[in-house]
Amino acid sequence: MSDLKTILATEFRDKEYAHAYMHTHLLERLAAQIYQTRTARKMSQTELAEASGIPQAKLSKLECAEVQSFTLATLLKLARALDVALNVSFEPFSKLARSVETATPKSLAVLSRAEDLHGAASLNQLLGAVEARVTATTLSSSAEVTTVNQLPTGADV
Amino acid sequence: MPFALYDYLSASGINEVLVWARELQTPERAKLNAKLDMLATHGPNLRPHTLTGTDASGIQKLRVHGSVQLRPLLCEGPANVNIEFTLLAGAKEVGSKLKPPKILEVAESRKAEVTADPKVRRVAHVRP
Repeated sequence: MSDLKTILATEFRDKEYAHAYMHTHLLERLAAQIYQTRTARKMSQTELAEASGIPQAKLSKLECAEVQSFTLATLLKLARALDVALNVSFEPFSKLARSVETATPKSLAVLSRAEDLHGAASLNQLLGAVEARVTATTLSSSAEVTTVNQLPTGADV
Repeated sequence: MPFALYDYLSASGINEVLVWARELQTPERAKLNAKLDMLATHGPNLRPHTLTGTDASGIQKLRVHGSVQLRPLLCEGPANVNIEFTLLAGAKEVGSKLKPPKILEVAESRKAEVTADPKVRRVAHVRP
């Protein structure tokens, strides 16, 4: 465990502390994810505000983590405007504590639906091609084995 | 962690930031630590405006939201600007004003002390 994980494991024995810490971390992470995903789309804050129907001043506060909470309705509007899926789930503290250290700009920026599905389609095509090649190679090897086995005894191979 | 955090030390060797932070209630202390962990781990890389400027040149504030609006004051560096931050003073914000009232001047003065003698007038950040 890293130093921070060890420290948090100890500090999180205090329920009040653990919830307050993760509350702030969640708001920071969401703010960073909105910023990173928006800028990856090359969208201005004004454009995202228009696309989501969220006032720009409020969006600015969300991106700066200057709020105490996000409503599900706001998150759904942002998800739709950024064209990403929204996942809200309960998690063990240890999992979210790890994200304090593992978050990176790249990992926070989420692919749009179109990019994601295109990537998935390309991956499927690639896997299909590899599978076809493996099958062809296997059949070819089998054929060679058969050919060798059918050679007359003493024949040069 | 990628970014080093330091605390200001008074001439008599007192960690003034730690003294301030240890007086906070548990939720405020937790929120402060969450913000500082993000700062030490990612600096300003995950999003801009992680730190907010103040009326004092070179003094920034970390905005910690909650029932009490904590505003620890800090500076980049001052020894190595891009890889470290030095916490200079603890403050709260009430109605857009920092409290205690003269805390910005205090932070400026402390920054000058740290800049003049960084090996003596600061210590690696102590977690409250």
